[in-house]
Amino acid sequence: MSSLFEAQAAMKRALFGEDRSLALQHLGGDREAASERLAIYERMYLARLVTSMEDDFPALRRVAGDLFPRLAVTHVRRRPSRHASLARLGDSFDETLTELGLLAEAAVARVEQARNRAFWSPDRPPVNLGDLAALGAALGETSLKLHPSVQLFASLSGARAVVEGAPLRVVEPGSWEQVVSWRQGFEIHVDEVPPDEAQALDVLLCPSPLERALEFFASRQDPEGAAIEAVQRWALRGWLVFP
Amino acid sequence: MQTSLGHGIGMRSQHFDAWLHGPVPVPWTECITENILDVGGRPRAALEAARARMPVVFHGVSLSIGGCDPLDAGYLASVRRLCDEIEPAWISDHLCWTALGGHHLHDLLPLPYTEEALEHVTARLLRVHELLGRPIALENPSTYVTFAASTIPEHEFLAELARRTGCGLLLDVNNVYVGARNHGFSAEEYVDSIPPEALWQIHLAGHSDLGDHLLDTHDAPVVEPVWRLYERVIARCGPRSTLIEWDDRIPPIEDVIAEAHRAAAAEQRALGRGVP
Repeated sequence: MSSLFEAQAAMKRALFGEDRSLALQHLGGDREAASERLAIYERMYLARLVTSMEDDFPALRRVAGDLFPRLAVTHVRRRPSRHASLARLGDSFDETLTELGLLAEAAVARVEQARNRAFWSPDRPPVNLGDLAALGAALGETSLKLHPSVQLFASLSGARAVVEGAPLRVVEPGSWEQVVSWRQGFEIHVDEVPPDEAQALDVLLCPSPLERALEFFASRQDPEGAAIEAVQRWALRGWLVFP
Repeated sequence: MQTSLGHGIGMRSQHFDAWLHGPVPVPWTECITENILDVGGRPRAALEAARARMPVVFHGVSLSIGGCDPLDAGYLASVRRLCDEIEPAWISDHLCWTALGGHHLHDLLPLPYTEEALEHVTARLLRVHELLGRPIALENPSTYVTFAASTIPEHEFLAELARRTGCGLLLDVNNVYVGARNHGFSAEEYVDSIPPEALWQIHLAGHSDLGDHLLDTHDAPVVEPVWRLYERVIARCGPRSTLIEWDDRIPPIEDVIAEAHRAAAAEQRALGRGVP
């Protein structure tokens, strides 16, 4: 094993809060000074990650208050970053909070994660109403998929309101809703969708003929009208792209 | 790469509106590569708006050129794709390691400066040049520790890397000052040893003085000793593309631009004075 690898592995263990004695063996200068300097890296590692998560989860930070930094540290200890971008650090924060039994906080985190993904997601030209009209009779069999900014997920009722400024107590345990978040222009939106529409949209996570998605409106009183209204709304909101 | 682009400022999200509605009165800008990689929306629009008006440089923080994990082929493919789309003036990253065991540490961690490390970084850098289809520039990092195994001064390590690989050097003058204070070496000797032909770019930034050490915080104006060091580099190497970095407690964009204008004035003073 190379000494370069050993030095890096030792420093990583120190940053992860596991063992700093090995890192100290690699450092120059007297042991006391080296220990103080190593502590700079240890502090900066956590401070940078916590600050990044504070920026990405403003609502959760507000409702969690002084607890937030501890929750963020728990998250980065349990799920160290596996992505080059810091923006992805909080991707599974909801899972950490769920493991801690903080279900309302996890629901808020899920909404903020979806908003963050919608913010960063790549650009793709959306299908507009003119594009749909031009397809004519071929519309039903045309393959479409959701725009990369569209995030579809189940959320506890009230979590969206917390992100808009409401207190955490408005989150209703056991009451679920289907939620979609998306970016239109530079604005991020979050809205509830009916369960059958969520199933239809779920089909379009992968490229699929539109008629396959619209089958989920079959139980509506006016299935065809509901399907047409939904597709027009999806296009107006920029949810659809050609694969 | 030795044609100076002048005195630019880093693009930060707090100033996206100014970049989107521009023009921002600077001759060039630099974006953090990871903030614009596979990204759309406002960040991408701000980048494209800037690029339509001026040269852009990509400055990475996650290449981990000194790391012991395999090079991240997916990351490098994304960087290359972005370069093909935006055509940056050049790309840079840091002489450091940032990941191990698949975990990204999001810090610019120091390397022991040894023959082993030099060979390791050289081989990886040559491979990166191949994968990106162009040479990149490497920046000297701010460091707070030294390694018992180190045998090569940092400035010699960088110069040798440039000689072996053809990489450029991004000299962060503030980092030199911070390192000199933290480790007790001569900042003047450091900057005087940088090969002018390899010097592509200069960074300037502020730091925090914590008494027994300096912290590279990028949250304040450039301090006077760093300006003097900058002038020393310019007097010796000639004009170089210079960029003001401001990453924390970010002021209005006008204040950052004013700092870039100070850099332009410092360059003029240095050129008027000539080689010391």
